[in-house]
Parts: sequence; C-alpha cells; structure tokens
Amino acid sequence: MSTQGSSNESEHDPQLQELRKILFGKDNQHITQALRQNARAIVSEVFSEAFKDRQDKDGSVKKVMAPLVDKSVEYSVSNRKEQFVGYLYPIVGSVVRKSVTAFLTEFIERTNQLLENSLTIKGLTWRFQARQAGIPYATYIASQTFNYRVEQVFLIHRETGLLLNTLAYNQQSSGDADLISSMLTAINDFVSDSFRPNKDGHEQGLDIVKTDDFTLVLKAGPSAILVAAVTGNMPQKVANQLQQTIEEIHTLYDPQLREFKGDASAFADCDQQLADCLVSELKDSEKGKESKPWMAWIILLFIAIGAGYYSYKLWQIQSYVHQISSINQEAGIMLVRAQRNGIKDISIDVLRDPDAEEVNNWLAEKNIPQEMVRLTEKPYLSLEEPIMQSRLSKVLVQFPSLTLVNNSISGELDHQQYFDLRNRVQQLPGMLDSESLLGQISVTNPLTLQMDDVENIQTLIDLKISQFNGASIEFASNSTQLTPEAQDGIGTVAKIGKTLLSLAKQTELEMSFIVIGASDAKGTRSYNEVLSIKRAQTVKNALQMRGIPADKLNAVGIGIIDVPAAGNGARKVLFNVIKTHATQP
Amino acid sequence: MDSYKIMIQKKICVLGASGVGKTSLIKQYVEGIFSEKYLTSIGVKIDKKQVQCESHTVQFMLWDIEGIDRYCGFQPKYLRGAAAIIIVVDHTRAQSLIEGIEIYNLAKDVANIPAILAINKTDLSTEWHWEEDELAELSSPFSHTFCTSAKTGDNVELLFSTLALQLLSEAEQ
Repeated sequence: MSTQGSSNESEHDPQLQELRKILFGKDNQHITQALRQNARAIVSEVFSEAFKDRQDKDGSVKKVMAPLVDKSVEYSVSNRKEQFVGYLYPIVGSVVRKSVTAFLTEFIERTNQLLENSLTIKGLTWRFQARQAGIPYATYIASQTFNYRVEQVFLIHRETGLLLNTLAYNQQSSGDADLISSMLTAINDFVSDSFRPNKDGHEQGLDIVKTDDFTLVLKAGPSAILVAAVTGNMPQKVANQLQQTIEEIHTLYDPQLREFKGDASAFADCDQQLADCLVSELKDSEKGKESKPWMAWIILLFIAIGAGYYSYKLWQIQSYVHQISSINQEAGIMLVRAQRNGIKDISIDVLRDPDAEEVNNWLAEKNIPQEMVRLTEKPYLSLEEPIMQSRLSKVLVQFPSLTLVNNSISGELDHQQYFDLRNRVQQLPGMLDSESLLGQISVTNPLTLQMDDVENIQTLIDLKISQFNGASIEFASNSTQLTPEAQDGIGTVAKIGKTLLSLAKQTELEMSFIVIGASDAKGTRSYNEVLSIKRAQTVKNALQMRGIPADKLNAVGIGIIDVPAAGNGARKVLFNVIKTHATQP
Repeated sequence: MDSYKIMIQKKICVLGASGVGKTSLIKQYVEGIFSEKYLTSIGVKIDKKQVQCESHTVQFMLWDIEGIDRYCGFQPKYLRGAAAIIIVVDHTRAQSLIEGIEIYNLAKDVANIPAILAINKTDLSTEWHWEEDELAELSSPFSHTFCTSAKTGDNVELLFSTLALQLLSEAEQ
C-alpha cells in the first residue's frame, strides 16, 4: 500500500522524485554500489543458514544443487581419477570382500540344498509326493522338514480391520496381506454375528482356523488382533507366544492403537515383537543335517581330489618330459621332439645309431614307465667318440691279442691278421685316421722277412728301380707349378722311393735318388737351365714332404732336351736311382 | 519431487439395494482379486485401491456389502471402523433411491460417518420419477452426490478422489 501511495505521490510531486534521484542515484545506483562493496561479507554471514532455511521451506535447494554436484563429480572423476580411486578404494575393497564371502557361503548352501533336494532318494520321493498332493514342492519340503513353522504374522487393527504390520518367514510374503487382514476381520465379524454369544455374554470370535496346509491362529486384544499362519502341527506354545506378544503390543502402543486413523507407520517398529512369533521347530531327523552342508562338501572334496590327481599327473609327466630331454647327452641318440599328450602319454621322436644304447633300456634306467612313451625311432650314423669306440671294440673282439688304450691299438699280429684288421678298420664309417690308430701294432712276421731269399729281394729292388726310373712329372710351358696330376705322380714316386729305401736297408745297399729337371727348347739356353733346376727342386721338396729324407735326394737341372717329335718338348722332371753297396758289408 | 508419501488406509463400505451395481462400480474402479463366492457366503467382498493425493497416498479398503434390502437389513458389524460409506442407487429404478435412503438411515444409526450418494447406471436413459428439487432434498444428508456409470466409467474416479480428499481434510482438522 505504501509503495502504491508513494508512487502516486511521486507522480504528482516532481520535487520528491528529484530528491530520490539525489539520494539513491539514477536507477538506485548509490544503494546497489554500497551494497556491492560489502556483498561478500554480507552473503557469507548468512550463506549456510539461508541454504538450510530454503531447503526446509520448499526443498528447492536440493533440486538446484543436484545437477551442480553431478557435474562437479563428473569433472573430478574424469580429471583426477587417481585421487578418486584413492578415496573409494577402502570402501570398494571391503564391499567386494564381503560380497564375495557372502556369495561363496550362499553358493555352498544353495548347492547343498539343491543336491539334497534333487539328488537324494528322499528328495525325489518328496518331489513325487508333492506332485501327487498337488502342492508346491517348497511348501511340501517345509511340511516334511518342520514340525511346524510360523510362516507369517499379521497385526490387525480390530475396529477397522486394517493391517498395521506384517512379518513373514521368507521375505516374499503375500503382497495382499492387507486384503487378507480385511477378509479375516469380515469372516470374524460374520462368525461373531452368526453364532450366539457365549455364556459370559462375550461375542463368539475366531480362535483357530485350520485348513489342509496351514493353521491360522488368532489372538484378539481390545484394539488389535494378532494372527499367525502356521504350517505343520502347531504346539500350544505358539498360541502362548502370540498371546504374550499381543499383550506386549497393547502395552507399548496403546495410544497409537486408540488414535489410529489409517496411518500404519506408527507400528513399523513392532517388527521386533512380531519376530518373536516367527518360531519354528525342525523335525528331529532333520536337525543334524541342516548344520553341515556335507553333500556340497563331498562334491567339493571330489573336485579337489580330482584337481589334485590331475596336477600330480601333470607334474609327473612334465618331469618325465624334462628327464627325456636329457637323452640328447647319450651318445648316438638325437632327440628330435618330445611332447606331452594330455596327462597320459608322451610321444618322442629320436634318431638313433644302431650301436647306441636302446632307448627303452635308457628309459628303464631312468625309471620312466615305457607304457607312457610312444617312441618313433629312425636310424642314423653317429661319429661321436663313444660310438666309434664301440664299433672298434666290436672289430677288436676277433683279435684278442690286441688292446685298445687311448685311441691307439697295441699288441702283436701277424702279417695276414694285420691286413685283415686294417681292411676292417678302414671300412668303419667315420674312420679318418686309421694309420695312427694302427701304428702301434707290431707285426711279428712282416712281409719283407718272408722273402728271405736275397735274389728275390734283388728282383723286387730291380722292379722298383725300373718303376722309379720310368716315372716322370709333367709341367706346363714355362712353369714350375705342380698340377694335381703331378701331385698324384709325386705321391706314387714317393711310395716307391720309400719301399726302395726299406728294401735297401735289408739288403745292405745304399740308395739315393736323382731328380732331373728338363725344359723344352723355347727361350734361351741359360733361362731354360735355371727353369729346369727350379722344376727339379720343386719335385725334390714335394718328395721330402712325403717322407723321403733330404740326404737321399739330389736335384739337378739339365736344361733343354730338344725332342722335336714330342711336340711339347721335354717339360718334365725325370728320376733315377743310384744304387751302391754299403761301405761296410 | 518424488519424496516419500505417508500412506493412510481407510475402510469404506459400499451399500445399496440389490442389483444397483455396487460390485460393478468397484470393479470399474479396481481389479478385484477375491472370488465372487465370498459374496454369497459371508456377504462381503473386499478390494483395495490406492489414490495418490498431493501429500499422502490413500489406500481404500473397499467393503462391498451385498444382500441388503428393506426386509432383511444388513450386517451392522461390517460398518465398524469404516471411514465413510457410499450408498449406490440405480438411475433406472426410482425404487432403489428410496431403498438407498432407508439403508442410509439404518447405517447412520450404527455409525455416524460421511456418506456419498452414487446414482449409478447413468449410461442408460430413463424416465426419472423424481423432480430435481425432490432429489436435492433427498440427497441433502450426503456430503456429495455423483451420477456415475460403472459401464462407461463416468465420474467413478472423481467419486473416489473426492472422497480421498474429503477424508484427508477431515483428518487434518
């Protein structure tokens, strides 16, 4: 009203308007400025209180704040994840632990129940009987396992028949408890009206209602009725308990019962009293069983034993595979592959030298059961030392006079046996150095001594000398290099030479060899002389290398041998034997 | 704001002469779950329905009381603790109004509670024997009068929500 009045006045009074303008400034500038300076202090003083007042008044603060809080949480989560995880970790950790524990316990219980109910003969019989009786299996179980059980209790307001509270044994109680309580009240009214009052003049009332499946027990107080739905054979103590509880409720909730106007929330706290009525008693035979979920434990035990057996087998077979891989250290056996097939057997592929140890013997030695091993074997020749030794030993069995020590054979053999042995040894696979192996054998009856006839030796010497003298080594034009053919030739010449020297020893002859170099006619005489000497020297060196002593060799160059018919001329080295009698016969 | 609403339960009795459509009226309002056999055995059929009001939820326990006529009367115990009664009369039968008024008077002797008059079967056309002012006089003791149709659902919701509001406002006083 006053603003209305003043605005009217100001319209009529331009002076007042002017004054206002001076005091407040244009558009109340002065006031707003003055307020703005202290705005922070003013607002902070009443900030929290104002929030609370407004929230209490219409709850609008919550609405405004919720989206802001959502946004800030979202921001924090996406930008400072680490801290958030840190805050939540202790909570989440314990929650997860708890729920896992609960889950496991429940799982064991459930599994046991399932097994007991479905696998045992009793369970199957019950299932059959429940079907025959046409009632749900769960109900049948309850009737079989419990002497009695209070399934649900209702607390009903007596006057209106309205439900005040209800509590059920399993949480999924009937959703129409309020309808049931009204119906019960109507039935009770019907009964009390249909039958005459009793002797004391009290109304008749329902006390117990019995059906095939359950019993309804009603205990009426002045303002409320307590009803229990009981399955099984209900003992008197249930009724006593109900009576006690309804009296207790009347004592505790008397004013609420009197002033009940339809709001049942006042009775939400009497759960405790109602819970006292949810009593049950197991049948004797069932009591022991309920305590331990032994079926589940047995199944778990079986699983554990199975897993233990499997892991033992696995460990065992793994160790066999590991052991088998060491077969490679055995001479003459090559492991190509060793693989485990499940836990039952191992398949192995090996290469084996026929002289090596049998794989099965090896397995038996290592205590690996042969029936577990599927063996695929392919033969090969091994050059390993022990195998070579074993091959050699096999040969030596036939020569008992010989002993094999440190890779060389010693002992005595006659000439025939020696050649036989040498032949066999040379045929052994992988035998490279038979000479040094056999070098220590003393041949008791050497070949040369058989020919005691001097004439015969002489004939042999003559034969060898003619062979020696007839030999020649060819060279390329203007070259002193030995060709491969030349090398071969020199080898042959060296052999003959050595034989001659040994024969010479026996016959007390002195022998030396002349190596004669020559050249063709191309080029100057002096050059060719040098060339021929060089060729002779080369061959002499080669013979020396092959074991002919240097003092038995004389190299000479004779320069050009002009043989036009030969074409190439005489680019060769020739040999000659000089035979003298020993100085002391 | 979906805050928790206090739930108030109320017992309501529905009365009326035979055949006026009490059961149909309730059926229109709720889907009944109890079998009709209750009607013949103990003469009452009970349904429930929740009405959401601003601050409260009202749960009606609707007692459909059957078998009343002017000769046999009715079971007065059924009215005990009721918060209100609904008298149902038949729009096509003037006689049912008289019977309804008689029933109301009987009920009033047992319990002095608010009553609502429901003139049912308004979907059917008829010659109404009562003048408007006569009707007004007869319905004066009732706190509300509704012309309903259980068939089309006319005014049925309105009747119950009005009743809920009325009971709530009484409770506040």
